[in-house]
Formats: sequence, C-alpha cells, structure tokens
Amino acid sequence: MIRIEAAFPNLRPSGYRVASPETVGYNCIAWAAGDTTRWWWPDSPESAYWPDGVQRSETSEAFVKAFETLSYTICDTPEYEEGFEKIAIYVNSNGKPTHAARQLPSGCWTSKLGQSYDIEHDLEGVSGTQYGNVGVIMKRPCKIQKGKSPPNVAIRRERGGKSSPDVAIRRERGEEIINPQA
Amino acid sequence: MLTAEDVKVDVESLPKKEYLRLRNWFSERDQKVWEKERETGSATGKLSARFYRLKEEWEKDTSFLSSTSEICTHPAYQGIIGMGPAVLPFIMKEMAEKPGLWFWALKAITGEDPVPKRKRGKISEMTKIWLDWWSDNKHKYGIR
Repeated sequence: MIRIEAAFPNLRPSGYRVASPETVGYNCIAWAAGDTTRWWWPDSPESAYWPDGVQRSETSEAFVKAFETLSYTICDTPEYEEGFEKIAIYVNSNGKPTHAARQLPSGCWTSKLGQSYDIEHDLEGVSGTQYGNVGVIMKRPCKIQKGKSPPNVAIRRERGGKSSPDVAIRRERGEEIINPQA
Repeated sequence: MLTAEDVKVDVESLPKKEYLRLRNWFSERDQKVWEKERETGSATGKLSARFYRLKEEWEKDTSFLSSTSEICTHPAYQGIIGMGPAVLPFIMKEMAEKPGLWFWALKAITGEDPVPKRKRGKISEMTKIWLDWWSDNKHKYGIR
C-alpha cells in the first residue's frame, strides 16, 4: 500500500480501500466500462481492445465516443444521482486521457490502477501527477433489475443523498424499481 | 579408427621433451575451451542481468498506468526491445509464468503478430497465442 500512497498522495487523506488482487487482465478503462475480460486502449499497434467504429486516438473526444458506445453521455456533475451510473475520465495537463473511474451506488468511486489493484476511493483521491485531474463526467441510466432494492441506501442517506422509498410501496404504486449496478 | 589405448602407447614412447610439448598443448586447448565457455556463460549472464534489471525498472514505473502507449514506450521497455532476438527466451519465460504486456515488444523484435483482431486486449489468450507461436518458431532463433 506504500507504493499506492506514494503514487497517489491524495488517497490517504481522503480514504480508500483496496478491493481486489493485482491483475493484468483488464485496465482502468475496461473496469469503468464494466469489462474485466480485456485491456482497453486506443494504441497504434492495436494490441489492446478499442470499440469498433471509434477512432484509435488518445484524445478526450475518442474516449467520450468509446463510452458513448455504452450509452453514456456527458453530464455536468459527479454527484450521485439515483437511477444513473457515472464514470469519470481523468486527463493530464495536456488534456490527454490517462484514467477512468466508475461511481459506486455508495457514491464512492472505483478504479483499476493499471496492472495493479482495484481500489474504492473519493473522486479526487487519484488526482495528481500520475493521472492528472478529472476532465469529463459521463452518465447513463442504470439497468433495471426488478425485485431488488437499491443497495447502500443507509450510506447514501447518511451522506445526505437521495434515499429510495420502500420497495414494497413502490411496487404497489406500479413504479419501476431501479437498482444501480455495482 | 584410432582409440585412446592406441595413442597411449605412442605417447608413452615419446621423448620427455616431446611429451611435455604434448602435455602443454592439451593444457592450452582445455584453457581455450574453458575460456570460451566462460565467455558464453558470461554473455548469457550479462544478458539475463540486463533483461531483469530493465524489466524491474519498467514494472516499477508503469504498474499503475493504463496507457499501453506509455507502458510500451517506457525507456526500459524500449531497452529490452533493443536487446533484440536474444531476449526472446527471457520474455517467453516471463510470459509462461505470468501474463504481461509483452506483445508490443514481441511484435517489434520478431516482426510477427500471430494474434487475430478479435483477441486484441484479451491478455491471457494473447499470451497463449504467443507462447504457441514460440513453440513453433523458436528453432528459427537457435533455441531447441
């Protein structure tokens, strides 16, 4: 963990948790996209995966287009919004994408640190010299999973976020039950 | 064909001066063989040491990066590529033990790319494809 904290000095003050063993099977972009089977990157030798039809270019535009293939659209705020899942694309001082993180239902963020661990962290926890700063936030509606109540409601209530009505009441009203993906 | 027993008889009949000349010749011959073996071993040893030093440096500096471009243009990784085909057995040994992002180096060194497009990014599968390729082609690089 010393190496992680040395590389990302904002992590310790803001809090973080290592959530997986190290693996080279997928990187941060793949993890943010919900894919743990491939390494995503628009490299020139084309050794990594990149969505068909999206320019192989290390630009914010290309990364936004890549996530648009997954139904994400640019939004204004990283704040948790019930019914939506969000990703953040980090860019360096030249505006070049370096990293992506995905928001969890708790409002925290999850990142795959390159070939290393997954961690859960505050949005700014991985900002700094390694990854730069947040450049773009994107969101998409959560997939519907009937019969399940949103997880971590208590945590969101504690953080002052929106809380979900009781599931039974919502079913009675005939409302859709939306469960954010983990 | 001559045998050692045949030669022994002749050697034992040599005058002392000639016997000593023959003995020195054997000694010098053995010395040259040993020195050549030591040189080869040293070259292999130096190659190995350089590879692992560069690999360690590369891994330390790039473990948190996701950009394949940045990872594979790191000076230490480029240094490994610069070692040429002689480094292939070391890379293959590493890949067999633990998949890693060696594909850019392998393409650069060999000029080959056995990975089909549909497998791009699937690290474990790409690793297996390259290891299979090495099994079929290592003889071209002087490896049995």
